Amino acid sequence: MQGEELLERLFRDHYTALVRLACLLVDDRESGEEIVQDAFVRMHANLNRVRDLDAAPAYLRSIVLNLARSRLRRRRVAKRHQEVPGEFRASLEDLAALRDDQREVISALRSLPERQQQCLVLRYYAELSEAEIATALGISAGSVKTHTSRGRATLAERLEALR
Amino acid sequence: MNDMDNSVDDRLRDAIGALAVGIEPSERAWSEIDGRLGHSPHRRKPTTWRVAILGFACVALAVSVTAALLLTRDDASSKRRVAHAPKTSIVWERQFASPVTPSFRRSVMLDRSSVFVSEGYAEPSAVRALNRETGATRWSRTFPAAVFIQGSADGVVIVGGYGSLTGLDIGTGAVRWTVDLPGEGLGAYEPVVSAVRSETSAIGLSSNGEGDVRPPVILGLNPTSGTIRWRTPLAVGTDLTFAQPLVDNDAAVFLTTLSHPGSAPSGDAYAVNLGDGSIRWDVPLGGNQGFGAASAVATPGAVHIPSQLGIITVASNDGTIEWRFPGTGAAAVAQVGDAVVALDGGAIVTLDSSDGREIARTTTSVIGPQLLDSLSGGRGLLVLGLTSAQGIDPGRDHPLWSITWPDRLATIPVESDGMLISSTMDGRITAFRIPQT
Repeated sequence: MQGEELLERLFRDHYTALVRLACLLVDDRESGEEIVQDAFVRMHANLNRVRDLDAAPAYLRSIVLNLARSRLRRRRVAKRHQEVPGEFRASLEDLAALRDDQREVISALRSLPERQQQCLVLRYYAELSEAEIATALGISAGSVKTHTSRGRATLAERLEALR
Repeated sequence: MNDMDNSVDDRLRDAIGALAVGIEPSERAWSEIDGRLGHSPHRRKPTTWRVAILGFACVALAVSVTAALLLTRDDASSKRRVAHAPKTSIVWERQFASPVTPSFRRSVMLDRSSVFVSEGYAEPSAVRALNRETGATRWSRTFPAAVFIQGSADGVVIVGGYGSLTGLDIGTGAVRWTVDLPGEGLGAYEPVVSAVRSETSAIGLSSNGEGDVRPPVILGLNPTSGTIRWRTPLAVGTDLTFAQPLVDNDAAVFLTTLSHPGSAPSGDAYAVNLGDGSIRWDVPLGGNQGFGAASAVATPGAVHIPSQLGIITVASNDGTIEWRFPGTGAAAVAQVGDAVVALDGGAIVTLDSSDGREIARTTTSVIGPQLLDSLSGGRGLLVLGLTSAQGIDPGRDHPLWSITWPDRLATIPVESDGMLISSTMDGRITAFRIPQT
């Protein structure tokens, strides 16, 4: 398959899911789309490195995750680096039609440490296995297990406290 | 797994799924990606229905591309990615894997023989010295976390990131000294912008973290040894902007803004004496938050400061306000001879530096101009937008040259002796030769 065709197929098959994944991680629709578009551009620049076509979606997902982490780090470290200073961006929850109980879960999820959030989103949205999450995040499977377990436990406590 | 675990699992799937379903990507997504890829040498293979349209367009394009190639002598493959007026030419271009930084924060520095590039927020990050004429790597030094170039003096390049400052040998990249900021009582601080000079450099540090209102701190530091000579805290509730400090009359002018809305009465401009760190004067710049990159400029006896209140001109000895130019749009100012130029929406306005009186007004085709900068050797004034730049002579109506980049600029292009270095968000560092007027 030609590189350009591969890129188009990846876009067709995975773009929406990747945008949703990125948005879930960075809690911002606009940033999520930018991240995935950047990922496609990077993928394009590195097409010659993609030898195993079956691995291409995972490679693309890794780029998205790295860019999402980079975006979060940038926000955290450099605070307000948006090109429009002080620009207000509604969170995804503000935009989505969620029930109150769903909002509680999302709010509790957002309160978790970043790594725990990532593991839970990859597990419960992307339905990845521990090994796949480990590969995607560049951490050990043991760490994935720990982060997922702690995140779920904290979430359970916080949701229980709301009852 | 017990019932509670199952309940949490189910609720997580349900809530995350509901949230995700509400996210529908923009219909323009592919065209936006395609537009960005269209500048790449890896051209997309056109589908059948596109061939006819593209064929027609190519005939028209071929004429202009051929003309551009004939007028320049450099590598043609790199030129296809960057549209530019015939008078500019690409000398070299490098692609790095990591993105540099948004908001025009400086991560490129240019001296007589080298271009110094830092990779912004990449982790691990690297600082590279590139041959100014060829782009070849002279040396590279890796850091575990993001670092930014602060400047160079006395054979040392000062770089810094979260928690540390490092002096690198300008010729080899070897570490000459390191300052551990937490060890200096400056945990969670990072260098933002600095005035790096011989004998004493003024390193501007801001504290990080949401809700952190600790004041910015200016460190007076010997660039050769890394020895700290003085430290000067500024106002609580403020942070340094990304404006490169102006050095005028043995003082460095730093600009600050609010850490978050309402965290302080205003951002300020501070003139910090390089000798002992004392504050010569400070001037309030308005009570809104804005992390701009536009720097102050000096004319004899005066400092002209871009702010939310327009261009504020103060006496350089005591900070007394002399005049103000309100302007509209981004506040930016540059010096051209004895005059200063400022942005007023899409117009470039030349002002008498002594009283702010408007002398001339011209327009620019740069969309959303953000910054102005003086170019060396009579090469005019640089007008900078997010993806394009023009060299203009404020006294003439047509641009001297122009450059359009295929991606957003990541940092303010730097120029000396007709060499202009840009870095864009796609990781490209490009060296242009710009003409002398």
